[in-house]
Amino acid sequence: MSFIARRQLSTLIPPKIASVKNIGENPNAKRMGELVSFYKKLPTGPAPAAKKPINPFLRYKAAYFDGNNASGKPLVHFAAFILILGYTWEYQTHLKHHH
Amino acid sequence: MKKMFMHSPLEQFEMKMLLMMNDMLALSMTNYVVYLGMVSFMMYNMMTLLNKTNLEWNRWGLAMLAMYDTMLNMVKSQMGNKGGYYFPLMFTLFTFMLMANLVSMMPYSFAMSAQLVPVVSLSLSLWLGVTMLGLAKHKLVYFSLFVPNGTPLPLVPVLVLMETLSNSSRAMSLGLRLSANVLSGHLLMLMLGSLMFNLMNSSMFGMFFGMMPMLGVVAMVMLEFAMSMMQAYVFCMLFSGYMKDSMYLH
Amino acid sequence: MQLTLAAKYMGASMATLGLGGAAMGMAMVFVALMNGTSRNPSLRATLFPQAMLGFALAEACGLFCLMMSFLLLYAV
Repeated sequence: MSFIARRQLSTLIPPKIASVKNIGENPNAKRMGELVSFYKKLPTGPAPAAKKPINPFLRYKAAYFDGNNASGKPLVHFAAFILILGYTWEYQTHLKHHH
Repeated sequence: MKKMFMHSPLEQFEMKMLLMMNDMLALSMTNYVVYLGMVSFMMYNMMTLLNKTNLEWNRWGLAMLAMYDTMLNMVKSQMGNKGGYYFPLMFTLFTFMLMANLVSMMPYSFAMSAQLVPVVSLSLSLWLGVTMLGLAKHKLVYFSLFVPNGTPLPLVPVLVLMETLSNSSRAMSLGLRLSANVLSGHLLMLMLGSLMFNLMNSSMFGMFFGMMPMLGVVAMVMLEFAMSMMQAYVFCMLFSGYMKDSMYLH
Repeated sequence: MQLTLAAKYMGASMATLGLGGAAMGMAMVFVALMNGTSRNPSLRATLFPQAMLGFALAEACGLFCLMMSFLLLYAV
């Protein structure tokens, strides 16, 4: 019984479509203002370059391994290193003595 | 110019001392140790790279993951899903041998895997581990590995003898295959290279006509690169096959 | 002295004879690969790695001979 009565009551009251407060301003304007001020605070322009690490290993890693810089060049460097090391070693132990 | 080549082709496999404590064995630094250190340093860095390339795919991560995937496929196809337990071992072995073989392909480098003693002792200890794994898993039933299914009774003693022989020869042949491959490949490259050098050094005519066989030498070097990668793969493949034998018994 | 040298060289050359077997083995691997792919071309992707494996195994056996002859030449 009570449920019917409540239903009747809710159908009787008209919805609040218009009021003095809502007619006067765009309800979205305040939210938009907040949004605009938020985006204005964000930094603009291209991103600043990442700080260069001081550690030589990390600098090498940043230059040849990270992100878009990844390339096979470390292998070439390693081959050059092996070449120099191996030739020096070979020279000191063998090649010096063969004439 | 004479300083370019060596006396004997086997000189390239010589251990060179850097630091000697007592004898060659105890705490001495040699050629081998230096290259071993280099390879393990690279492997360590590779591990950190592999751990960091979660979603940020760069070329290094892709290269590492290609290797990872190759090994994972191989192990899964050989040993089934249970093989995943032994995947880290396989991947480490593969990476180690791949890097050792490829580093030894650089000029004036030292061929680590051509040293018979370390490689054969590695394969011997791996085989021992596999045997212990089988014994721990199946107790005495492990020895049923030596009797193939459906053997007639009179043949059993002979077959057991042969299977035992073949099983225990795996310990040597696994390492010997890799080592002999690298050894003879490097000898062949050095001999062909010094032959070419002598030919092209002899005269203008030799210089000119040496260009053609030079291509053969280049092809040989490319074949050696391919073999150095393939041997690492074959080593792991055979080893996981042996491991499958002792895990599942046939 | 000369005799031992001659024997060394002869031994080394004889050790290379085994390479013939490795050559035949490799040839058989690739013959089988061609046979398989011509019968069923769609299997090529699965057959090729196995053929490569067979090639590597056969080649390794051949290289044992080569290693023996090198050892005889330079290490004995």
